Order: sequence, then structure tokens, then C-alpha cells
Amino acid sequence: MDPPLYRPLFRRILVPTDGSAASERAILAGVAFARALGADIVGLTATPGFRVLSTDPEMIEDTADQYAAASRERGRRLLATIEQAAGEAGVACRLEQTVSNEPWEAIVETAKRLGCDLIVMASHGRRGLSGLLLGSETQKVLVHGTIPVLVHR
Amino acid sequence: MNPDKEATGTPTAAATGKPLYKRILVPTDGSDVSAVAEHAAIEFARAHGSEIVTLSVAQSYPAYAAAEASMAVDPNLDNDALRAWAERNVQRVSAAAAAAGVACTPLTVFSHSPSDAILDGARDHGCDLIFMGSHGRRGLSRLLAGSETQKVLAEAEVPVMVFRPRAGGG
Repeated sequence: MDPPLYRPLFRRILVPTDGSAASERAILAGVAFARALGADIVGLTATPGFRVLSTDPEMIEDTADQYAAASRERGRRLLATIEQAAGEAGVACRLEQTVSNEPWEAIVETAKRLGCDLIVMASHGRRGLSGLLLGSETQKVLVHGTIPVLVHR
Repeated sequence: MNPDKEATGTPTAAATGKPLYKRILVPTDGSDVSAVAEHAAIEFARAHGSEIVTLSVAQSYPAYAAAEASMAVDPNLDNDALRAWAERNVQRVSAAAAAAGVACTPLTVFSHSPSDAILDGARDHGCDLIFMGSHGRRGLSRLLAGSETQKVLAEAEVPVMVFRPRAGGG
């Protein structure tokens, strides 16, 4: 059987971020990978929905509207890191911000919706010091997703 | 037929001068999901000028030491079968790599712990990327079924590309 014309394995790479140092490293790795492969990237951040009772200092704002505006702004800051890295590398980039209390769900859903064929993420995120072998969001993306995941430490 | 001629439209190793990853470790256990990772690794290596080190772990169970019944079993017989199985796994990857013009080093090791063998293999052979399949039971959310994969992900010093079983054969 003749080999078909070379079809790139990965054309659109999803790069989620939660703002942690580990995900910042994964962003740089993902952008470098995309650049070498000629792929484009989708930057994603999921901000939690508003809850009246919260211990999250990001939710100290007292109304849902204020919270929504503040979390949109925070999301924009996180995505700006991806946009800048992609821009410097000359990699085409699309940015997505979703409201979700389950980041892994947002990651799997966005990958499917936008036709991503690879996810690049860190093995641990913000809540990475809980003693788990592997960050819980990363683990859930691996369990529930079907596309390959390039995991960076 | 020249893959270099056909590989247009994507910057290859030849185009960019240096491979993104020089040496990819590809653990294999002969499973379907392992085959997905093997195939992807060979394609990736061919497109990006990497070489492959493929590793199959003959998992020797410590059960012999404890089981009284072990007196009735010839451990050498079992080890020979395990070794042959591991050899078959890596030879299959080597043959596919050779057909794609990708350099490939086959390795088999005996170990109680596949994850340790994979981590050691990556380190000892200077691999800068690991491509592996993860067995998973669909819909079971509590843990990655592959605890070996988890351990590799948590402890690997290099990035790990994890492949999941195909959904519905797609």
C-alpha cells in the first residue's frame, strides 16, 4: 500500500491555562510544538461560575455582574500570555474563554467543538500540591477525552 | 515515493534544520492503544527527523516468591514466554519503523514495574519525548485505569504524549 501524501498528525492544538507556573511552561512548550509542526493553537481558560458563598478570593465581588466582569478580565489576562507567545512565534492563535466549574469539561468540550487534534497541558495545575500523582484536571481530561494529550511537567 | 518530496506544507526537520525531538521512547505492550501510539510515533519521527527507541516490559510477577504453588511452576519456562512476547512487540515496531525509513532501537527488559522500566529507559537512552497509549475504561472517572501511565506522567523528566483508545474504531 502506497503511503498517502503526508498528512500532519496535529493541525490544531488546544492549550488550556489556569495561570499556574506549570501551565505557563506548558503554553511555551505548546506554542513551540505548534510552530515546529506548522499547526495553529487554541488558547483556553475556564473561569468558575459565580457562587454567593465562596472561599475563592477571586469571588469577593459582591454581585454576579461584577464577578462576571472581573473573571472575564482575569481570563483575558491569562489568555494574553498565550496570545503573546503565539504572536512571537508566528503561530496562528484563537482564544476561548468559558465559564465552567469543571475545567476538564471545558477542555474536552472545546477540543471537540473546535476540531482540535491535540491538547498540550501541564501534569499539575493550580491545585497541584495535593499529593496526587497527577493533577485532577489532567487526569480527567485523559479519562474523558479521546484525542492525544501531550503532558508536560 | 520519496517521503521528503511529499512532505510539503509542513516544516520538516530538513526544512527547519534540527529535529524538534531527537529520540522518542515508544513503550509497547502489543495492545490496540499501544498500536495507535506506535503508528503516530513512527509518522511523527518520519516527518520530523526523530529516531525511535521502542521498549517492551516483560513484567515478572513477584507472586512466585510468595505462592507455595510456585514450586510446581518452572519460572524459566514462564520467563521464556514473557521474553518472546516482549521481543515480538518490539520487533513489530522495528519493522514498521524500518518500512517508514525511521531508525529504531528495540529494547526488552524484565521488570516488576513497567512504569519504572519506562522511566529508566527514557533516561538511559536519552529520549526527549515519550509516546504511549493509556488503557482506560470508558466512563470510569475515578482514576486513569492505567496507573502505570499516571506514574510515568508524574515522574517523567520529558514530555509524554498520551494516546487514548479510539472511540468506536474511529
